Amino acid sequence: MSFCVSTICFSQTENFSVSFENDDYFQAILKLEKLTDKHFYFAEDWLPEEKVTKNYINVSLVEVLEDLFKSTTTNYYILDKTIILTRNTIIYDKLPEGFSRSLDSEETHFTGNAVEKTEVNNSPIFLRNNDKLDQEIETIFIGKEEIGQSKRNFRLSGYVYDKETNQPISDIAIVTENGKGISTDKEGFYNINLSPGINILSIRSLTNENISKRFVMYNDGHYSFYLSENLEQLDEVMLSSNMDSNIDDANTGEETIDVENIKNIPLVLGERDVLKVATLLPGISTPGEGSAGFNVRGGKADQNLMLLDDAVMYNPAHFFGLFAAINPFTTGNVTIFKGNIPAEYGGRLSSVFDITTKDSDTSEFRGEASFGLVTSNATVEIPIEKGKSGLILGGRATYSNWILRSLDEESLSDSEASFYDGIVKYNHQFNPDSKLSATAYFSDDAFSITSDSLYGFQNRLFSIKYNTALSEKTRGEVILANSDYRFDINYDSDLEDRFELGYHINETEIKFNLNSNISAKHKLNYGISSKFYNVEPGYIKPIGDSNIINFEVNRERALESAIWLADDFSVSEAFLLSAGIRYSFFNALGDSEVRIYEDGMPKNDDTVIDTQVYDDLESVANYSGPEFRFSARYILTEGLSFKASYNNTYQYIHTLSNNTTVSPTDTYRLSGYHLKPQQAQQYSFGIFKNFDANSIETSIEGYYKTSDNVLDFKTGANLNLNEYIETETLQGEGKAYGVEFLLKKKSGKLNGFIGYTYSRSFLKFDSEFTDEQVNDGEFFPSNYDKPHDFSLVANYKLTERFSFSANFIYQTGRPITYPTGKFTYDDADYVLYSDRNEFRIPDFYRLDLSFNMEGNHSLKKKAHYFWNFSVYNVLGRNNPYSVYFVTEDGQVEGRQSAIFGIPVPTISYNVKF
Amino acid sequence: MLNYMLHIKTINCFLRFGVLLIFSSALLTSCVESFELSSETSEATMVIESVITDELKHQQVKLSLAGPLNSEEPMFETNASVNVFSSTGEIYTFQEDSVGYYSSIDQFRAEANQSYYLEVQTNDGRTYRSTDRQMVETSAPIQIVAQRQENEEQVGAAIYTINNSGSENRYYKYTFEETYKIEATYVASLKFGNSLLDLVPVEEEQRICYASNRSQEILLNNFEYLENDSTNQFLIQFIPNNDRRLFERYSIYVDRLSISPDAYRFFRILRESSIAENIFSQRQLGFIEGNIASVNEPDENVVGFFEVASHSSQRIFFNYTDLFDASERPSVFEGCEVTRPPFTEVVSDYENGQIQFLSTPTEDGNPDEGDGPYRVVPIECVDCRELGSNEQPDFWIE
Repeated sequence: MSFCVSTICFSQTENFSVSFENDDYFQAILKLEKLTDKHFYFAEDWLPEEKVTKNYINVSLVEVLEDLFKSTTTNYYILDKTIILTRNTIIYDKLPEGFSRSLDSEETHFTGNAVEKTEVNNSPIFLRNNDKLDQEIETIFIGKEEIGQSKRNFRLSGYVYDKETNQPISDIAIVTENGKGISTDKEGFYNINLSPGINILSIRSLTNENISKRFVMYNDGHYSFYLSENLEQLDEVMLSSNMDSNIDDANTGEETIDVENIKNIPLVLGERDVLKVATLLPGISTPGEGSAGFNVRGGKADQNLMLLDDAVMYNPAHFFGLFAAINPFTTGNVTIFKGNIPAEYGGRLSSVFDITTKDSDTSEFRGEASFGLVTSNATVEIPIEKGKSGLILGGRATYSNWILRSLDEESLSDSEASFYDGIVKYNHQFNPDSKLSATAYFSDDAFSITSDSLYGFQNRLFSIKYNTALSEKTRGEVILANSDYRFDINYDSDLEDRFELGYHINETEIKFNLNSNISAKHKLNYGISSKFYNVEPGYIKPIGDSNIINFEVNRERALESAIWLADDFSVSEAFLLSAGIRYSFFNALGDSEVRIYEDGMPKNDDTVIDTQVYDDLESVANYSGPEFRFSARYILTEGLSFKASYNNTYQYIHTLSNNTTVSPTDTYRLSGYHLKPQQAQQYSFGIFKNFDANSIETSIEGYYKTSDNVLDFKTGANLNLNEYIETETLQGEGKAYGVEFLLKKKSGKLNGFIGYTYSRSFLKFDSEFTDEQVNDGEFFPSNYDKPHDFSLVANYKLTERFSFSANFIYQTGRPITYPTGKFTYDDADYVLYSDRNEFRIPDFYRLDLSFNMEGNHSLKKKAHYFWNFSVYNVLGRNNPYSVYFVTEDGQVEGRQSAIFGIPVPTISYNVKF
Repeated sequence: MLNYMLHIKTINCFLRFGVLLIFSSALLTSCVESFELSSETSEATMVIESVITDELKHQQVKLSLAGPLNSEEPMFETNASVNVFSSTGEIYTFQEDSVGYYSSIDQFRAEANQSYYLEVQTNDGRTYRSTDRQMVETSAPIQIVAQRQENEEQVGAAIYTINNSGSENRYYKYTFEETYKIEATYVASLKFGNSLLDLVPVEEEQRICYASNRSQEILLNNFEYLENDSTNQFLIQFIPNNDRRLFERYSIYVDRLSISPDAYRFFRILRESSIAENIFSQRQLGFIEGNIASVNEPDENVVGFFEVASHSSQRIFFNYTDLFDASERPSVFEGCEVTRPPFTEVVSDYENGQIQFLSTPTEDGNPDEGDGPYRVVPIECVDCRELGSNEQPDFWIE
């Protein structure tokens, strides 16, 4: 159900002045009737009970009505000389302010060459089509009629914004009467060709109101839609792909997370976490509860491209992954590509997490704050130039340090854990065609787990994007992004061996991305990008009076570039083909010294035969290759489509890690003379079916993926400060396949989704040398091979204010390397590990419940609050995170650890104003 | 130097939970639990331990087999033929002294500028051979110091080796044996002789004893990233000053081997595989490749690293009062309360080896002791042989 609130708005050209002095609405309306030649029709008890004290000088009637009724449940329709006041049904008295504001042509979005409305009577075309006139549809006149105009089509373009937040809304479907449809891009921009005369455009969206408008096209022009949030949907849909986009898109394996609506999902410690929600979706998992890193469709954790406003985020986690470093309040949109990756993206094998920050409201100051047990969070939106530009600022910090210190536990007095992150985004709309946005982000973690070492890591991102129309059919954007990630360990002791050890990577990318709608059938995306990397793979330096030397592993520098072209080709109404090709180039650059090893011998210190020296910026190694991104969609019947895709990808940057899960001290190294780029190809096929007017979505997707040159390491490899990592690395093959089922119910009192995935993921490292083999060179299950993965997220809405939510997750336990025996060495017992990942930890399951309470949606209240009470792991299941063996006093002991072995209750409070 | 990796990976369970501590202690204690080792069937993996040093002695080789996880008794490879070959053509033959332990028939020492390899032929015809090893030389002899050390939690004796990084070798492996003197709290002239509690005179020495422990963890230290000719202290052992080992007189013998980077790597990985780690990031485990392989079946897993190392050792002694003030020593009577339990209890406690006779009660005895027939104390308070041997080791110097 949707609430379409529209009026037919005729121009109220005569301006007048009026003042109300503690008048009730009845008196106010009488005054207006006297001052204008309009007649009001209404039932008296529909009027708001409040008194009005207002002063209007030289305003139009519409302005007065808009202001008078903006925070009431009363709606108005203007019909020539008649004004009808209506009152909506009960639901309306719980709507937040502003909802009932009707859309009208006087709003500021009529800018640029949009043409002021004309009197309806002056439009013969309109009157001839009078039979279509109904009170629900607003009419908008676009362009000045030009004598001798002979164009067959006029172009209408503009943006779709959220009326409440002024955020652009992407992927909104705009459909004409005859079924021609387009959708808005990431910037909320749309561009459609309409025939001269009357066209009716309907906007279909689940998250926002569905509206239709009548456009009378005299010429090309602009129009921007401002949509109210669809309250029926608010707080219910936790994850939604827009409308029937699951049916319409050609991409397989694309997921969109509706960030605003994840707040009902019960989460541990009251932290709203965009990325944790992602892991509930089929095909995306983490190696363990509370661990960092994502495994997408059987891929390694370093194979995901995390983009925050187009800049790469190297470590999107705080405190080992327990908390996400993505601010949930400033995040607007998260789109995850786990199947076919659009050609404009590249550089990682498995997925793209495209995270965009909201635009600031440009008309009103807004804020939001939340208080949890571990962190607090505040966000403000500051308009700079009304209607044009604004600044959004978000910050989060933890007070765990204070908690640690105040605890009466001696062993903790030395430890600390703190983190914070901050983000600033500036957006500036120069004109309907051009927009600039700039983002800066910083996160910092510090923790010490023993009294002598302090760990720290920082992400720093910056990006600036300018998006403009280059021609009628082409829009282009230029993006400049810089990312920086570093970690360091400060080791302090009483002895003279204090040091700082660290790692640092910096990358700068420039990207030109263009979109051309060359015809109704062809939409092109093409562009070019280039990225420069500068890596300090490891350094150590003395602190104070220490006899540690300064040492640095030679820096790595490289250029990664790509050029791409993709065409969304609508072969027919039902058949959409998206064909893209990306060609990527990688140049590892000097200066560097490369060791050459004897052919046919294992790479180690003894087999070095030569050392090659490369000068500054001299090419050390080059890799390049074509990457195909094909996908096709065929709509069989309404609400039923088939999709298939093939894509291949290259990856030139690799994580070095000795661990089975992601750790903040993992380093990223570039491909080079010895380290080859990783490659993957994926075939996927899916069937998508929607029921019940798209309110229920179902899908089955299958994939088969192979990869090459996937990285692994010799047992106990020393990766820190290692100048010759080729002596420790293994490169092998990967193989993964799976079937993913998803059932989503997007609306109604009970909503949510059920996902089930059956998948396998294997790796193989073979070599003629035994120490470069894993499991005798046979395929073995990867660390994140979890065949069965089931998740249920359900939300039951008791009333408008109260709702219950539940998550249930079941996963096969992940493989671990289990000892095959034990032996004695140097008088102590040790366990013997021979085959990797032959054993699994016990299966994982967990139930979380939460109860949510919304503040009263009183229209008078400025602030809106939200309480969440949740219990994480209600069943108290002691889900093992890891199983390991230690030697203590010479004896072997087996241990298992769990992160949250008991139910964890949480309360959080959120206020929005 | 890379010991820091150990520091940071040995994370106390409490600390892992950093921010989560606000909940309850239940959470903290539930985070890590021990479990029973299951009896996985084990492959018969050969384990070969041998380091040949430059000390003139009967060099040792130990041959054992990996056993099931829950096995109690170690398994050994017996009746093997063990030889060390030198690059100058010498063959040193080993014979089995005790089950699984082989020592060279003749004494020999490893020489610089020669290489050696180990060959083991088992009874059933399998042959294992190590790679060629050359002795890693070292110049500076080991130097050990014991010093009082205080940190937030405790005061104790820290035993360090002080090494000068010099310029050549930079990888050391240590083993130690600590020996300490024990003095019984009480002296008794009589003791229970049998289960009927007949009193017999004490004839053996049971007041002064000596106990020894060998190091049970792999101690490694390297000089990577250290300035040339800088000194480096490496902690060998830390004993809190309320530990009985320090009460009288303490001695530690530290043996230092100068090993190659490859051997260092082997021992480092072995050590890392056996210690608790960061809960959030588990190390990837796997078979630890040494330098010994099967000649017959190159794919067979063999555990062990044959190394030729130069050695240096030192023994030091110190008394409690050398490092601490006598007032810091806990009372020797602690845990040595005198009681007079009922006769039947005395019988059963004595049979269980828990108590021993101290004296017969006197009239003006302490009524808190009870009213049993004998004054008894925990056995180790009167008979130090419970804790050590009453034979003074040869090396002991008062």
